[in-house]
Amino acid sequence: MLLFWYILNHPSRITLRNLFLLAVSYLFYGWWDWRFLTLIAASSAIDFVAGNRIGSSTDRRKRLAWLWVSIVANLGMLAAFKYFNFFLESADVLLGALGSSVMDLRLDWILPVGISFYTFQTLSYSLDIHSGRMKPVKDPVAFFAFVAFFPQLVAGPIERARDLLPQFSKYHAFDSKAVKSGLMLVVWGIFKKVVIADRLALYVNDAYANPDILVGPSAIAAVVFFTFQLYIDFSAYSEIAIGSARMMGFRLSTNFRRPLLAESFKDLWARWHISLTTWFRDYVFRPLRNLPGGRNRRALNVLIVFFLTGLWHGADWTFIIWGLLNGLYLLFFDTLVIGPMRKIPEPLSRILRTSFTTVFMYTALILFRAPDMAIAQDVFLALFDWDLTQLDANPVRLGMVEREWRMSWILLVGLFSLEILVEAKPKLEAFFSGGIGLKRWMVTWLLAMAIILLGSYGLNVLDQEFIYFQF
Amino acid sequence: MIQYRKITNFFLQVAFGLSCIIATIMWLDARGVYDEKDADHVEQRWESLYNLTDSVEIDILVLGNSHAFTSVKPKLLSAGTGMTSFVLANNGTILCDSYWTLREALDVCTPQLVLVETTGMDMQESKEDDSGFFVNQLRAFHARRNWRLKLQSTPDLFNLDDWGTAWSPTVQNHHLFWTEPERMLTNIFRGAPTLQPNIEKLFLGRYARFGSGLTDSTLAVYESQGPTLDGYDEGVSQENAEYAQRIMELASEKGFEVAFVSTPMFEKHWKNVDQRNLALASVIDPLEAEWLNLQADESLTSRPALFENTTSKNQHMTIHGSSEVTHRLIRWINENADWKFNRPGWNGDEMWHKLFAEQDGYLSFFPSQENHPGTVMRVKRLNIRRKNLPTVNVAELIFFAGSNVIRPTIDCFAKVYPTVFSNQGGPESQSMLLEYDHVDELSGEVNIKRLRLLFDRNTSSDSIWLYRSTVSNDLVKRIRGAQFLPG
Repeated sequence: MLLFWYILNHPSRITLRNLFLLAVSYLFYGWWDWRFLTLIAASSAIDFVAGNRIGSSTDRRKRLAWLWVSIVANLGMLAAFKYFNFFLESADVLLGALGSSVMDLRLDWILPVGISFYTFQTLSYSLDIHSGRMKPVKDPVAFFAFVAFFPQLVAGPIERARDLLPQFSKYHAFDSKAVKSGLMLVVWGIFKKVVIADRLALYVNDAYANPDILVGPSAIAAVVFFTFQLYIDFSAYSEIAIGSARMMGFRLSTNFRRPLLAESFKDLWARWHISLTTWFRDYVFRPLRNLPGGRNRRALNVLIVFFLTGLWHGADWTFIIWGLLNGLYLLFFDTLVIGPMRKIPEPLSRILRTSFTTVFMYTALILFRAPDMAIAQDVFLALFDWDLTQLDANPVRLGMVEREWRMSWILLVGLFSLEILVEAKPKLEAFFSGGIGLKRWMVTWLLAMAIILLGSYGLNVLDQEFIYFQF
Repeated sequence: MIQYRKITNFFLQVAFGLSCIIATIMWLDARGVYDEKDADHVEQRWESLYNLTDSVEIDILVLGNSHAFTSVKPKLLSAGTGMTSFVLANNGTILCDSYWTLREALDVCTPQLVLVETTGMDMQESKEDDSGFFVNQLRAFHARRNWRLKLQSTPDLFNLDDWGTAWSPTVQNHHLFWTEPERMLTNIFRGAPTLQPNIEKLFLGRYARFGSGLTDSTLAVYESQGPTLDGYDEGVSQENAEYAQRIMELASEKGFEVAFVSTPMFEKHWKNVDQRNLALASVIDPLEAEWLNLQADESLTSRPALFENTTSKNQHMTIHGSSEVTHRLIRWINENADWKFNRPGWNGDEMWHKLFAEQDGYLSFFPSQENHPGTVMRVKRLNIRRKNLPTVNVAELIFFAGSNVIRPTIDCFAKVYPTVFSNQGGPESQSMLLEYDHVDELSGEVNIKRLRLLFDRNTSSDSIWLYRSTVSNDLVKRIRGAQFLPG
């Protein structure tokens, strides 16, 4: 950071600064597995060339051809590393009925971290140039640095080239207010991840590893805890990414806007993983709608988008069904259940709308967490098993320490209350990071000490990666 | 154009904020708020080393893992070699840890001989191994006092993720908030932590745990399941080989001898043990260091009583087993013509004798100290005549104020020259019955008392059998007679 602000971030040294960011980003990614740097480099090179060719050509067919080069290269990489075995296994099930197998073709490749994120990011560049939303960049260093920008490389937010790329061509003046709020956001993100999400993970992992010991209360706790864990874990990563970028003068897009307070599934997807939702909206839903007769096929288009959303998350039927379920909820639940509730007077109506959305969203996420359909079914059925005598053998807190169990609920209630407060008074969000320095430093010190003293880490605690690293 | 002042100001604030966080943690560490438990043998070992080396030189330093501190009796080794011995070993340690342990030990002492127990070389390969002993590594690291060496050794000993844990008990034990808040409260109100005084006056690093040996039912497990360890599975990692080399380099730089010792496990515990020996030899032989491989000593490995009652991988020695190993070590060190040691015990160093005079094993190798304040009564030469059997020659009979600080007692030792008993049994088949005058402390009356002394196989040597017993702290006046009885 010192090097960045003192020396590299200078109006006359922008390329050097970008080169530095590129080197740091590649080092960051290569630390995990240097071999996969070739993938990012290849993806960047293809899109840089494709983007320039699309931008410089006036021939519609040539432009389309280069767009297809970009699409096939990016999605091809994604398909090979992420989906090949899944499609193969699904095909094998069908072929099994005919007495043949294709499992010999299975690839034992590991999934490169963040591949779903950076391929979508680079793809948006070619798509935007093709649709005339932006012009191609001539500076390869800026482009490569944009694709590999380390704060958001492995788990988003998925930035649009037209938003982030121009920032690599500019000099960033030091804005101490922005840098301090960025630091604060990073600390807040780490607090959420280490103190809350990782603690909830202990319970959730236990529950999903042993679904047979779950009964009503513990199953509810597992479902609620996982929803919060997923949200807190992913939003924490986004905040750390946004905060880190902000500390270097870059602005990243907001990825979450209090999704647990959504009042419908449409509202939920406008608040949850916003950068992915808008990506699918802009590059899949709208083109589908603009096809001849597309406007009459809204339901189908929505289901296609949600099918792809599920598939994007993981190469498994649980994710695909989860995605489709969300599409169906958006189409029918919002209309049939949420719609009539709007006639009830506020605030009761809002409470009911949010509660109903929440319940359906929480239960759908069982599919997201369960490693297979059988476990998803076990957890779901356990929600309705109220034979509480089983709690004598397996208490509702499962293997969690009593105090930790109580504190987990307190933390959840606290965070949820904070979200309600901020939803009602959005200015509160800036309260802690703004104002006089003493208050801000006190809050930062308290958060840092809470991370160290209350965090779920250390000896005998399994390290919890960010959930979205796997996508 | 660039706002250097603002930037500097920001980074100064960040530095101040970080300092506040580090200061808070250091304060919590110093207050011992997150101390998990009272000091155990790991910390006691280092504490004892630092205290001892203020006044005494360490001549033999034993490094290694739990096999070192359960298989070697440093007091007996000291007595037998005349060289002050200290076992600076730690549970589940790796050779890298032993290397840095040695570096720090060399800061406070100048050993003439360093013995490296080899179990840690081939049974645990590197710090990357997910070991349940990590807590002990941390405890030993905390106990070390040399900040410079601790800093230097941190990257070698710990993965980056564990640096905070290694340096701060607060970071390491922050889980106490959830699991044992009562302990935290106790810690808060007790003030700054102090190391618990050791119950032993002289702690040389031994930590004995196993009293009884392999039982018949455990031996039956070997018959049904076969050996636990396979020589083909236990190689010496590159990392351990490198640190063995570094220990040798340190030895030539500082001028001490290094020897490797393989303490044994039960013979049926291993299969293809030759392969294990080859693996160790491939590392030790190029170093041109001495190696005592006691796993090859059938007189040890064939005796179930010498080994911990387990078939699990990590089989230690019993107290009896450790005596046997120590006696072999003593012979090996004493008979090695290449080593020309300065032996304070043999050189008549008065301070050395004062230190060991009342310790286990001393009387097996040295006459009792006439002027030692603990000596209550001392009888030189006592001959016990027997019908049709050679006379039993008792070299010395000593009543000694014991070292038990909780219950004051008098230890009685009889040093007997090896002889033949009527039933042809060994020294364990007999006990010595002693009759003496005892003066009642209150009335002053003299009574006759009898005391039965049993053979102490753990401190006896080939040339002296030691029989011993303990009496309460009373006044022994005159020895009336003695005889040997079966049983």
